[in-house]
Amino acid sequence: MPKVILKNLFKKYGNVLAVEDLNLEINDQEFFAILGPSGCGKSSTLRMIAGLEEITSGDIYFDETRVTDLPPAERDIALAFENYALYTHLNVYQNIAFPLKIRKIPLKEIDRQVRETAKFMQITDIFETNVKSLSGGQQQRVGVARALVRRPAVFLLDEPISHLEAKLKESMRTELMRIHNDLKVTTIYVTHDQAEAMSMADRICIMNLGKIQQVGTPKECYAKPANEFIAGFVGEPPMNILNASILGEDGRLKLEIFGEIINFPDQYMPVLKEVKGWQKGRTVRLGIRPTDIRCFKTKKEDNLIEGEVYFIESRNEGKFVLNVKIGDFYILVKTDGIFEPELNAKIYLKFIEDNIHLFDQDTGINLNRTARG
Amino acid sequence: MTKIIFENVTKIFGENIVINDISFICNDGEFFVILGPSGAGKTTIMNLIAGLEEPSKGHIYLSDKIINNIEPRYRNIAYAFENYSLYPHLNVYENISFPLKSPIRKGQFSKEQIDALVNEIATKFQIKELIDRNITQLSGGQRQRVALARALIRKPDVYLLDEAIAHLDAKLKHLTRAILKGFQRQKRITTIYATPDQLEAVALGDRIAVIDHGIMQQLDTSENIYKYPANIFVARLFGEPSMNIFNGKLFSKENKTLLNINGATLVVPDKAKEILGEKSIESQVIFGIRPADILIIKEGNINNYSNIVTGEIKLIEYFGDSFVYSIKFGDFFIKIKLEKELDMEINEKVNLQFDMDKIFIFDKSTEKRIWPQR
Repeated sequence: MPKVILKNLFKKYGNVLAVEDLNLEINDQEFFAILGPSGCGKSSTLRMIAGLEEITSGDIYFDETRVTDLPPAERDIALAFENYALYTHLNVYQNIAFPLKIRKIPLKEIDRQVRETAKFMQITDIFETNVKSLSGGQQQRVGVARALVRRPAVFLLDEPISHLEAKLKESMRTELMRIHNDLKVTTIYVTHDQAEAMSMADRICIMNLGKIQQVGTPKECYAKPANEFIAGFVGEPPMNILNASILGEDGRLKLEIFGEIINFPDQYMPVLKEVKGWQKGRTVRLGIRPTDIRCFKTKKEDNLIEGEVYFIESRNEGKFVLNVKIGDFYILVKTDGIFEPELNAKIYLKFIEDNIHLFDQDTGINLNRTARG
Repeated sequence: MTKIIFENVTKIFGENIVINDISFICNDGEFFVILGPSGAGKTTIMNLIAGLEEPSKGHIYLSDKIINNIEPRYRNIAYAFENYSLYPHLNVYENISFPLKSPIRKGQFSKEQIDALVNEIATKFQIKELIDRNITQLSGGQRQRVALARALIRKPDVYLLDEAIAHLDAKLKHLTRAILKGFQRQKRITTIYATPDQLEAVALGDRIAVIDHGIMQQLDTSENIYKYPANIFVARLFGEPSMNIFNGKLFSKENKTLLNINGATLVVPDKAKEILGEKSIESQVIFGIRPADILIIKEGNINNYSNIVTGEIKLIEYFGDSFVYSIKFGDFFIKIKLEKELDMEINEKVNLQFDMDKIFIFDKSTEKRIWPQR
């Protein structure tokens, strides 16, 4: 299985720059996700790798082979789309056999490969069924089986499960991971759903506005988001991001948010002090995840932030996501299963200082990322 | 003061029974959620309440009045459709204010009152800055909030909201849920909300009616449904990831009720024995346990009655604040949800300890819950 290398890739549609100077190296056998909101350039990138979209400039390599100008059929790739694109006049067996038939492989060999792949995808019992009468999940399985039947070198998936219902999505996610684990085909998976990318991929490339924002493991992207965009995009419920001002009193770094003073861990100080323009009184963007906030019913210590429980979203397992109103700002807090919130009651919040992220107000860059362990 | 009552309502389109003998009472001021997959019949129920469809059988009451044949415009119901149904030739202000200007409400609101009401609702749902825009200039999420504001601007007897906040991004979704629920509680208007999203139903609903194939599966609070799901369908629908479900065989030995799954023996709690009755002596059942109710332990005293089985880690899914492990145990894949990552690799052998106080047992043929009992 090859490495996939993208070098200075650009894609322009008329005057619109859809993909800007993309550089990526996708490892052999890797499950690699490209994640981003609609219009970020992720599908264009995938289509360029597939050869379905002309490259404006730049190059694509599969290992040492330059494939930039090769037609799709010569790239040894398989594609599965969101809308399956199954042949509706054929049954399941014929759909799966199709890519082998057009390659003029002997019938006996086709039969062997179709049966093997179908068994693997657990769809042997619906061979004779016309694809029109299949459920969404079954169609998806057939689509994947058809893509995998020739054992391609690179498997490209474009939002393959995003329109499925939550429960079906959950099982298809596991299934696609199982397939990848067993076949070890280099897989590139495009999605706008952060939970899909986070749960499935070895590494994620997060894109916005045609540019790469971060490339890293799911854990890196979650724990050390490169900028404010990623911080707000990855994680559910999403990270709270608010304005804070810096007070550099008594040699320690403190933040003022909503009139309360929060100490910032000393370990970050050297890093923060190197940031250009760093000074007392400066406004920064402060990010804190809903799971990194503790709740109290009384003001039992200083520096707690007072708010009001505006809405309690029940979760299963006795947990809640609270919407806490502070002035005209809302903060999400995910409780631990012990705290019992009361609607409209006063609540006091403590941000776990070690888990605070600071972002530059203008550039959005994460200022204390490198200080994280 | 408006109740909505369905009394054995059936709706048939051609040969298709879309709603099959559904009965429920939605109380005055309640936030009542209808949850089910696509094709379950949710929108048909909404249309029946709105008067866009007539029931084939049964009665629908608005409080104590049968409304089967009453025209939509006489029902005093506000409806937000999933596909928005905004007027493309009108701007945001004109769309939101439209219900206040309809012919049957002619003269009820002055220009100033309309301005004030539009202003209030647009501020609440954070679309005030869009007020002069054309509908075609809006994103899906913005359109959805305009449709919601248009439905909520009046004080009707009933709000019908069909997937009314399905197309918002994560951040906006949480905030809009909060604002919607706060608004509904403040106005105390009976609300029916349809969604295929279990998390949304749990977040919003005072009670949830779970519908599948046009049939009422369960009607209760989310807490009760989670604790006492009526059947396997409901059990799998509530909770992320889904409950693990396996075929198993109950049998008795040494005065204990035991459960054989995949060759391993688990001990069923004594209190379940009486409820299981004859089934506890020997029967095929379906066994369920939630992913958070299984522990992965490194060492463990595996004996006959320790409720520990051995499996192999096959997949690890990461969700930021939790991890889901898929463990291969014989022919089964068991999902386990943990808050911390284990220091273990794919294909490593692990011991799983089942918390038998949290198990579910379902009837093999009807798929209905037998244990636990309320």
